[in-house]
Amino acid sequence: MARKRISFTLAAVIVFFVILLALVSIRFTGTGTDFPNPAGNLLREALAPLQGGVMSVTTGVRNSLASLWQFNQLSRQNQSLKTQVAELTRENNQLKQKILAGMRYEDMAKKFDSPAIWNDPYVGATVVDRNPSNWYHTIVINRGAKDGVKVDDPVITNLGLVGKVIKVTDSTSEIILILDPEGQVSGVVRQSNGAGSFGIVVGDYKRGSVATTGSLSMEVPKEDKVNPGDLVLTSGMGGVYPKDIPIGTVQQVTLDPSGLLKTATITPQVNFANLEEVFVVLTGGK
Amino acid sequence: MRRYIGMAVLFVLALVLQSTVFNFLAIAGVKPDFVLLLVIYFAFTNGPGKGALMGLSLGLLEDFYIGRFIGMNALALLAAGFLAGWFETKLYKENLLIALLVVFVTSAASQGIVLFSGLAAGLNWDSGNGFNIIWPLAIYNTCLVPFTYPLFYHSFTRGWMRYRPKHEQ
Repeated sequence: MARKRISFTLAAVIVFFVILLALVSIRFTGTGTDFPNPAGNLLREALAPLQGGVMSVTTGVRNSLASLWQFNQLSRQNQSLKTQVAELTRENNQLKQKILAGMRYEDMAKKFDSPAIWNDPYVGATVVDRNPSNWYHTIVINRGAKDGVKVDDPVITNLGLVGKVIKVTDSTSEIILILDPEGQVSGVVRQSNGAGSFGIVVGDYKRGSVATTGSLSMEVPKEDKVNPGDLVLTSGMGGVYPKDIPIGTVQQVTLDPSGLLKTATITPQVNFANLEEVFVVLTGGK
Repeated sequence: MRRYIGMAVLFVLALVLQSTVFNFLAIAGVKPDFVLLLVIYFAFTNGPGKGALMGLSLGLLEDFYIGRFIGMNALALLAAGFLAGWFETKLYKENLLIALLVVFVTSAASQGIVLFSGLAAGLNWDSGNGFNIIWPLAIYNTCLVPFTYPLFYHSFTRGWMRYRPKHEQ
């Protein structure tokens, strides 16, 4: 009987101290405390590869099972993701186009040197359409009367002359290119002695089966000293185009059959095939 | 001796499973505690003394493995081992229903000790949330008994992990 009582007291004391020890230990080995734990580290090191293997197998099995169970959900999700991808692709393409357009506009900021024209206000415009007919070389831009565009306003790019406005609606304008036989320009070439050689620059472009072919040409008096490589500018005569807008460079000079004139074939400065952005100079139709 | 080797292997297996597979088997945010189940089974066939010792050692190892609050699981598993061992002396072991009851009570009690020791050690735990862990865990562990207890019982009494007197080895 006595033995049992002692053993009970002893047991109570042991239990008390075990609990006390545990609580103290818990208190001093909490989160964030750094205490030496070689046994735990060893155990972790030893189990890590095993866990890695088990984990990957489990994840694989779970994912395959999940795909079976959630087939409908996954199919719906797939559908919605596809829609989203399409939407994002569209958005991405739009942004790309905007960036490219921005880059082209930036390019256009490097303009040719002509005080006469850059003093006038001008608006940038995007080419939205080309003439559907085979007979005219015209383009349509997204600026119109609302933006102050008037008939006969010159249209240029940073490189040189494009044409002039021939028709204006509220928000669009039609432009006849200098390539069109009707879009004649009074041009001038500086001769080697400095004097101007004047003439009419005329386009004789025709629509070929594959691409538009033809050239700009200008007839000058036989005795004028015009050479290949000379720059052709607008003369400012005729009232439509201001002075000193580059038109193109002389490519070759041939003698006219009549013997009185020379024909200078001109390569335009502007690449009309790739024309996307232009400036409309708001001369107010003067 | 074989028993202890078997327990060590099972313990390692339980730790690995606990940290990997069981994460996917979590119900109501709680995964089964296989180490606890192991200690309960061992104690329920080997008595309170060995049970408590086994609980203490596995608990300490688990604590070291977890790496913080050393003593929390040791205390909880010690209590679980002692309690289940004490049931061994009072109850009929072969009955599955009794095993269910023992596992439920012991699991709940041992997790209650975890909660108590955490609070007593001044951790910032919410006791309400603690009970939300204790009951699902006890139920979950109990649900595992029908699949595991017969195997363990057979192994501990007649199979590979049975008690062998010295002269038999």
